[in-house]
Amino acid sequence: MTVEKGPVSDKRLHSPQEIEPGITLPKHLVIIPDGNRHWANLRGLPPSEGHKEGVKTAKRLMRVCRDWGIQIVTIWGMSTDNLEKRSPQEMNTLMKIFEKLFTNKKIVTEWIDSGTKVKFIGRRDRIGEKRPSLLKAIKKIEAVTKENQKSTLVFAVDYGGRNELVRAFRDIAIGIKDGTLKPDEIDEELISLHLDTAGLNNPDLIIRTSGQRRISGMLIFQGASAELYFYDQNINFPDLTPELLREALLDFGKRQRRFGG
Amino acid sequence: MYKWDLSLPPKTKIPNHLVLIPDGNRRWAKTRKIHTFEGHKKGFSVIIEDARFCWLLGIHTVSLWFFSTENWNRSKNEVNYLMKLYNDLIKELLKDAKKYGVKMVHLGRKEKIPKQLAKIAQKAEKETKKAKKHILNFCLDYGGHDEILRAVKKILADKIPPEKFTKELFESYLDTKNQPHIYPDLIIRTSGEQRLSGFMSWQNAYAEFYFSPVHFPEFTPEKLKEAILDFNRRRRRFGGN
Repeated sequence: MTVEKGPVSDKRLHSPQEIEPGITLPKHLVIIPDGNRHWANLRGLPPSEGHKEGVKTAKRLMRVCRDWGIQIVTIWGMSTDNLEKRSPQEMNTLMKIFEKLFTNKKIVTEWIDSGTKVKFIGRRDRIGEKRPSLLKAIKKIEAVTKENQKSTLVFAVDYGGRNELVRAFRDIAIGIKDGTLKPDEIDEELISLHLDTAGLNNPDLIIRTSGQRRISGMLIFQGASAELYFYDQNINFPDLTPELLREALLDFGKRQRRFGG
Repeated sequence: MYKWDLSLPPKTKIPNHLVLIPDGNRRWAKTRKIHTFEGHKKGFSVIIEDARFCWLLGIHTVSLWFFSTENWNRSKNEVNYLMKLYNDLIKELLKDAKKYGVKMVHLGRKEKIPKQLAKIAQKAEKETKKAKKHILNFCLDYGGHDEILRAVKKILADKIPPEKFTKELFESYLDTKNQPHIYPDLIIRTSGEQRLSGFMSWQNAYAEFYFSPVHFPEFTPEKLKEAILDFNRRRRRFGGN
């Protein structure tokens, strides 16, 4: 089967498996959505419009990933550095947009009905301080979807890879102090179990839009052997169509992963 | 006369810390139908050229990944050959290090590599420890996870109270401790591989990546220069605006 000619609806879009039978898809796909603000800027719109468009794109991509059978999708919403370095105004707007998404009845019902477990990674203390209603929404979604098994959707909010590691080490140290852990039990697996992503498979593929070729600390520990895929500069996150996502997945299918051997 | 053209356009920004992940020695040999070992040998001569080029350009820190914690699962024959080659490579790099004021530092596990190699690595570190102009991290039996794991174990062995755990404390336990530029600015990997395989998992957060399709034996200083020019076109924001 070849790529379809002309635009089709997402439902009718051929899956990567239909194009390349037997293709290996990532079990865990990580999306670093970059370029919302730039997208808005190019259109003479305020940054918040770019973020809103980004949410639309994210919703659309989450659906196709589910249809194509990708088990875990992680999307980076906001980094610890974003929160510290960008204007409070922009960050407040962003948190408001997240809250709207996570309290949207239609979306939440869709997640429940499709068997999607929703998980959040990142610091919670600052979200709780700056926007308690967002933290409440986060906890609620996690609670109502926690038994779901079909797929997992992970949102990284106020997330930074180094921060996550330091929090994990602190927990381990407390465990040792309390006597619940022994020093000789410490290995990579134990560290993994103390990270926010405990219980999830490590990422297989990390994609990033808008031409930035870096990972900015996203899942630095877990993503060690992940394949990286960077879109060109002209693809800002709102421009990331399911067809373009499929290109990354087809490319991933062709890569030879050797894990050092 | 020096054979490579060192000139760069005015105002070119030189990365403080450059990483080279040399990949594709074996594939290079294969495409030429010559023995794998010849690929490694050729790769090593390019490493020496590239490192020297970096010192002449004024790059402060260069990290070279020779052998990973996962590479032990290659054939015994190849591993043995590589270990011998590293002996010579470190000796060669040491000569240049003394000439250009480079402090050599071994990143990775010290216990598992052959005794002879460990001795040469130590010697290189000892004889260059006072150098101030540059740092060369040679990574042997190195893995980012392993480095993190060793650091955590050591912090706990030192009985540091949990509330004192910070990024800064943690960094003082990594193999790169006490270095002025521990975060790589530019990570170059050759031979078309687009992954990091855990290189400096902690330190690499804001590094820019440059993936070259060229097999390492062809990644000469000329190519290195292209990478630096590409790095100059990047917009680095560190999470801000």
